Formats: sequence, C-alpha cells, structure tokens
Amino acid sequence: MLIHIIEDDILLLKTLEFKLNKEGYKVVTSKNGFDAIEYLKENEPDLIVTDIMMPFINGLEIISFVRAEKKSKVPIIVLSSAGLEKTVLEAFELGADDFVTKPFSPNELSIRIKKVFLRSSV
Amino acid sequence: MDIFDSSVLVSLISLFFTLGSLFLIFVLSFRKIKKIRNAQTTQLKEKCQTLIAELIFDEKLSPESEEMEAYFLKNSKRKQLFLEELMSLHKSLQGEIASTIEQYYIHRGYDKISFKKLKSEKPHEILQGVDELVEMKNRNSIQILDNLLHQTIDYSLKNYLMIAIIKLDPEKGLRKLFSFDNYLTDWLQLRIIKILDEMKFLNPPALSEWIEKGGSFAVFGCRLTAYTKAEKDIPLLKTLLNKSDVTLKIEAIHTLGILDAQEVNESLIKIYFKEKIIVKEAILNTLAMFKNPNNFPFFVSCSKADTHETQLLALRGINLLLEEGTLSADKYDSQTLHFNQLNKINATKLKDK
Repeated sequence: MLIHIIEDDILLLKTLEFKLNKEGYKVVTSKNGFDAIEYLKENEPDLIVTDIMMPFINGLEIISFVRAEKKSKVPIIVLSSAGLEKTVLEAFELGADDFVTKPFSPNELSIRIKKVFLRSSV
Repeated sequence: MDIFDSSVLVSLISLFFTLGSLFLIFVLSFRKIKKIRNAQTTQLKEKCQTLIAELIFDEKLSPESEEMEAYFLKNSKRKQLFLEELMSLHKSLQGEIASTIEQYYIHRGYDKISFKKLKSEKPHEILQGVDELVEMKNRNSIQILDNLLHQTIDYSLKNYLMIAIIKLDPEKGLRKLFSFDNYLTDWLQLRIIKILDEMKFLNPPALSEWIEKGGSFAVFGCRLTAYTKAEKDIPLLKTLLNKSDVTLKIEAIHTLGILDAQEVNESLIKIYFKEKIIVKEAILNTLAMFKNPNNFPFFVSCSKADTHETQLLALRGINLLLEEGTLSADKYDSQTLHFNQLNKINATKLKDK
C-alpha cells in the first residue's frame, strides 16, 4: 500500500513517514502543495494524508485537484488543527474521507488509515 | 590652486571608491557566511528530525544514531536546536508518542536546560524555559515555578507563571491563586477559564472561597460557576444581589442568567428600580435569558423608562418572548407597537451619534 503524506511541518512529516514505514506501508512525502500536485499528476497512491493549512497551495486545493481535475477516488485523510471545523467541513464537501485533529496520536492516525482502507476495499 | 583642487578631488574619489569596494566586499562576505550558516543549520535540523523520528519509535537506536545523539548532546547550541525540534513535534502529537517525548526530555537532561533558563536575567529566556516545562508537562517544576512567582516583582511574568502552574496542575494552580497578589484582569480570568476548558477541568474550589477572597477573585469565582454550570451555587449567588460591589453584583446576575436560575426572577425585578443603570442592564439581560412570559408587563414598563440602552434591552426581552412563542396572541398588537418604538429609539440613537 502506498501512502502519500503532504505536510509542511518537516519533523511531523518525518515522524509520520517513520511510523507508517514501521507499519509496513510504502510512504511518499511532499513538503508542500506544489510538490504534492506535481507528484499526483504522474502517480496514483493508495491513500493521501494531507495537512489543511499550508502556504501557497493548501490541503483544500489538493483535494479539489484530486477529485475534480484528476477524477481520482483515492481515499483522503485530512490533518487539521483545532478550531478549523469549518475548513474540515469544506474538505468533506470537496471529497475528503476522514480527518484527524492536531495534536493527534500517530496510533490514532494508523487506525484511521486502516479503517479508510477497509471501507474503500468494501 | 586648480592643480591642488583636482588632486584633492582625485584622492577623495579614490577614498570613496576604496570604502565602497570594502563595504561591498563586507556585505557579500557577510551574505555568503550567512548562507553557509543557514545551510549548516538546515542540514543539522534535518539530521535532528531524522534522529527524533527514530528515537520515538525505536527502543534501540542504531550505532550511527547513537553517535548522532551524542553529537547533539555535546554542544549547548545543538542541544537547544534539538530541544526546539522536540517541542515543536510534541505540540502536534498526543497519546503514547507524546508521553515518550516527555520521558525522553527528562531522561536526557533537557529539563535542566529549561530550569537553567528560569535563572536567566533575560525575561524572554525565562519565558522560554517556562514554555518548555509546560509543553513537556513537567509537573516536578511546579514548586520551582511557584518559588519564582513569589520572588519576581514583574507583573506580566507573575501572570505568566500563574498560568503555567495552572496548565501543569489546574487543581493546585487554582488553589495557589488564593495567595496570588495580582489583580485578576478580565483577560487573565478568561485565559484561565479557556485553559480549564481545554483540559476539561470541572472541579475548581468552591464559590464561597472566591467570595471570601473578594474583589476580582469573587468575580472570577462567579465566572467559574458559570463555566462549570454549578447550579448548587444559585443560593450563594442570590446573596450577592444585596452586595454593594457593583461589578460583583453584575457578574452574579449574569451567572444566574447562564444557570437559568428562574427562581431569582422575582428578586431581580424587586431590586431593579433601585439599582444603577449598569445593574439594570444586567438584570434585563438575565431576565431576557429566562424567556419567562410573566415578565412581559415588566419589560413593557422598562421599555418606556430610563435610558435608550435599557429600553432596547427591554424590547429585546419582548422580542425573545415573541420568538419563543410563549406570548399569548392578544399581546401581539402591543408587540407591534413596541417594535415601532424600537425603531424610533434606534433612529434617535443614530441621530444623537
């Protein structure tokens, strides 16, 4: 399973990469929205985990690129901060499948990932 | 004379040219050094981030990572960089991993760096130390922060330390507030309540203790009662209606509204006419929150007396009763009348301004 993580906090990005690698997933990372869209133009991961608040190209734009332009049904999990409920709702309207609020437990994220995979396989 | 002048001019030009070139060389070298340093820091940060990611998930480090960890622990600047990265990751995570980071912070002696900062002469370093201890949930630091709180005379630092203690242990922190000699500003009170809310702490000291301490503490006690929705405090709040302290009285009235203490409805109406305008406004606000249709005649009488503000609040009370649908149909005509009155008042107010 290939997971594409998009997060501008490099340390958090590395931590998630490390954690998900340990759990046996293949992980590709992007530090910003530009890199993410460039990668997604050419590739199709099995799951996308994206931060919402990023400079220049944010998580919402990535979701709408995946759903509206790429017409892909790849599951998307959104990482949001507390107080961004409205933005999360917008993300769901654009086609996100689940969300995790920061601060979060990486174990919780793994459970959500498993759940999303389970749902998409059904 | 001409020859002398031209030679001076040439010397001056060459002097400026030399100075300009030196300045340019200095700026370029400075930029180059800065660029190299930034690149080094970025490289160091990357190494640090990889190491942290490995540290929090692997019980046993590889020999290379162990070497890298020792490299960071050797130098105070690198140690600080590592600590900053650790803190930033901790902010994004919770649960088991966050606890691992907290334990690591203590086991590797990073807490000592934070404690050292508390002794600094520079205020920003003290605050940095406090932030680190709070972020890493170091409860052992409460006594040290408390000692510092009693030693310092800086008003802002005192508030900062008080908030830090509450964040680390809300129960202990709120108790320590009783020996706090700063005035509890509205900002500080709301900040504390926000922290308690984030920590889902619902067991503050009793309202009677805050009232005993008096002043801003009594007001804070009322706000805590409103936050915890402690209905058991309604009788005590009712006694505050007879106090001479206007601020406290207003807060008590407001809290009674939040608690929906319908039983004080009559008491509020009883004291209304002998109170100051600001208290009257608080009473009207609370009565509006009760949405009690029996208050309709009272609102009507208030909508014709005192200031524009009280009249508007009374009309708002009527409006809320209407929205609630608790008024009988025969009173609707008088409602229309009062809404016209409301519009008139608004128009006058705008004209006055």
